[in-house]
Parts: sequence; structure tokens; C-alpha cells
Amino acid sequence: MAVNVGFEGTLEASTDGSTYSAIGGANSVSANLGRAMLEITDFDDTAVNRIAGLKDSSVSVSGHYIGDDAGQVILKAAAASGNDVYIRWRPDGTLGFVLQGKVENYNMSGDPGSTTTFESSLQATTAWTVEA
Amino acid sequence: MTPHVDISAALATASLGVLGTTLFYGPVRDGLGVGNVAIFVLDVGGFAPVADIGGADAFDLRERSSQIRVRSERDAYTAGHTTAQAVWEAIHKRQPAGYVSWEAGEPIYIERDESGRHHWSINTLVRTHD
Repeated sequence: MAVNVGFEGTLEASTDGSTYSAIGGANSVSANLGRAMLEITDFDDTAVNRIAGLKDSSVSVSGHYIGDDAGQVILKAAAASGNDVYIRWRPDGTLGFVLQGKVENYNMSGDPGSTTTFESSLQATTAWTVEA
Repeated sequence: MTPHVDISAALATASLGVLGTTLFYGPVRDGLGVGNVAIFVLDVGGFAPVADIGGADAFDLRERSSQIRVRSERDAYTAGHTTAQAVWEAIHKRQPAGYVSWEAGEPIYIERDESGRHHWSINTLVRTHD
């Protein structure tokens, strides 16, 4: 199994979880696929003991701002409406994970000497799933 | 997109040269059909592109440099300087459709060559997202 360089991946957004649009201009993505840990240590234990709690996840995406890019439009619209969106990141271009969640923010910044950039963060509303 | 071609076209549009007559692709040179008063446009490389996520066919942010050389008539410093400034004004922030940006440094005086011609260099940074 080969390692993957970042540009090989695909990063997409969807409003319905079936039809996805590439998030054009994106050149950085960070995902946190997590789960709460519930401590159940009692007097009989000789070490801290835990059980798995609920899944939780978040994703942040950033890159060059492209006003009419379909994927970025989905994120902007969801930031305005509060509706759920789906993010699918496939680091190898084939398999990855899907997060359904809400757009926490959609930030933009620019200066005269470089491209205008965007940054968006999402928080999950359902359990993340892994494609296999 | 080929920066030296599009930069040359912009200079021609600004009436600063005629391609093949007073405006040339490539390095500074003499020879048949190349007069003293001339502008040369040469692509000189750039940084490695910054890739977008999205597979090998996704866009990259590319930054490439070109060098525009202005050469005056013999002992015609003032006219050459005026041309060098006009070149800067015709290029800086004048990117055509398809480019992210064109930036040009102020004209740099290079030398008075052995034939008495004055030389300037205008170094440009061209960005594309393709």
C-alpha cells in the first residue's frame, strides 16, 4: 500500500449525500474522526478504565476562494442556512470517509499580493462513516 | 498559458514594440533584424506549484517569473528610461483574463554596453491557477 500525497485526494461537498461536487481551490484539509471516552474506573480497577462513547467529528477546509465553485457554494449556502451538508474526503482518490454536519463558519481573507482565501469548519451532526 | 507570449502581446498592444521588429521572445541579442532599440521577453522559471486537492488533474497555483529587457539607442538614456517605465505600467496589475495576477518590479538599470546602449530589466511575477 503506497502512501498518498495530498493532491491525489478528492475533497467534495454535497447537500444530499449522493451527488457530490468537488471543492475547487481547496489546498488544505484536516479531519478529526473521534469518539468520546467514558471513564468507568471503580475501586476494583488497578488502572483507569474506559468504554467507548459517542462518535464525534469535525473537518476544516481551506484554499483559494473561487466565488462560483460548486463545492464552495454548497459550503457558503449551508453556513447561511444552517442546513446539514456532507463532506467526503478520499485521500487516495478512491476511499475515505464521509461526515454529515453543519458549517460552523466560512471565513475569507485577502490581501493585494496573493489570492483571496477561504477557510471553513464543520461539526458533525451524525456519526461519521468510513468507506471500505 | 505562456507568460512571455502574453506579456509580449500586452507590450505590443501598448504600442511599445512590434513583435519580430522591435519586440522579441528570448534573451538579449544582436543580429540580423534586431536593432539597437529593442525589448526582449524571456521566461526565467519559477517556484514549484502549490497543488490543489483533487487528483493529478486538479488545478495548481503557479508562480512564474519573466524578465523583460529594454535596450535603448546609443547614448539615449532618457528615451530608454521612458520606455522602461512605460513597460512597467503596461504590465503591473494588467493581467489579461485567465491569469490570477501580474506583478512587475520597478525597472532596474543594468548597464551601458560596449556599444553605448543602455539596458534595463523589469522582472515580473505571473500567477496562474490552472
